[in-house]
Amino acid sequence: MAYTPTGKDKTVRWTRVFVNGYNLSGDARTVSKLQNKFDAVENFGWSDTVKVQVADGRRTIGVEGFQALLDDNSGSYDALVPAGQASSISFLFGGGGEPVAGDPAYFIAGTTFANGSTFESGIAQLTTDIFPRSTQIGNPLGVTLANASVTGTTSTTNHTSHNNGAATSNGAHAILHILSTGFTRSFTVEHSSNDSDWSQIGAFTLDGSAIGYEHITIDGTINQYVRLVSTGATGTAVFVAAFARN
Amino acid sequence: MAGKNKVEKSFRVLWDDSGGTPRDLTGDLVPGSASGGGFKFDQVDMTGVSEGFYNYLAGHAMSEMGAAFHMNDTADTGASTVLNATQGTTGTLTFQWGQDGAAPTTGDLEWSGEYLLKDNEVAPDSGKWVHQVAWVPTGTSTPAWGTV
Repeated sequence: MAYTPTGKDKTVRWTRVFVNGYNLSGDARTVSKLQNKFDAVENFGWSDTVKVQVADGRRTIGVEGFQALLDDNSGSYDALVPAGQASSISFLFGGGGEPVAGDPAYFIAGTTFANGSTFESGIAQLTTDIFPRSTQIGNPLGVTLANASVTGTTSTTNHTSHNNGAATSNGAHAILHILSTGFTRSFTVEHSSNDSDWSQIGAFTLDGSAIGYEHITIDGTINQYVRLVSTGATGTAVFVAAFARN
Repeated sequence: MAGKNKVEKSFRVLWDDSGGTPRDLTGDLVPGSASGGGFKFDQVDMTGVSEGFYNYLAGHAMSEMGAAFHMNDTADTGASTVLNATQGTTGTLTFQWGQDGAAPTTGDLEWSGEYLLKDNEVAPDSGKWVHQVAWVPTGTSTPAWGTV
């Protein structure tokens, strides 16, 4: 059954942030802005009263001023240093509790720029900007597909589906962060027009053998409902995933 | 009754959803964040060297509108739901000013026109997440003052 939105309850307290397979929610302090804006081009002429504009189709996205405590115990230092490396950052916005499948998400796959250390209120912090890479750009605002810890023998988990409204035809993208090792699990993204009959639209290759992240792009039609399916064997799998239609 | 009684509680902002239905987003509007309505004309400097005062004529007008909204994923009507689905698209944007704390009613002031939703950025604000939104005028229908 599809996720039921919880409404106007998305506080920072229940936001979780993941960078390159690391959960930095315990180090995160603030962020200046999660960028998401279109350039607009003026197309008015002399006889127009108002300077009207049209969107030029090019969007500015990126994470500006993400600030986290400097932590070298599987924390911000391990995830963000050095600058210049490929990175993925995902914000999952929980509604009054830990984020669940269907909660809003903001994510990009990009490059870490300029992480600098400063002292804020007497403690060292890293401040980072992450902007998209040329081949990994899509709408950054989407939904959480999973924020899960699954233990057990061979099992298939159909994570809670999300109702994204009418089908679209501009494709989508998705991100997976593997936060633990010692398990074997496969991860696929499925869609449905009725929340009952499902077909696969994307698959990740990460399988739990290493901490990390993977970003995939999905072409074509995205039906009304979408979900993550994970199928595993042994161990405890800790992972998060997010999805956004373009 | 007309007058200088346009308190913020009486303000409403409506924006078309992806299906063209006007949605009242005021329940998610962050207090004090809405700006816009009316025109700001370019000041074209017509000053001549020998003149004693700078003087101007009006050029083209701008009408940028802005607001911040709480992150709200309620189906159909939540600000996140409506804004995320309409960024980069055009629709009718309406600001309405009611009176004395009451909802806008027939005869109350409104500003309305065809706008492009340009910006839909997310930022933290005192422990919550807000959408920082900007609209610019577009199309051939000039925004204008009117009444509800």
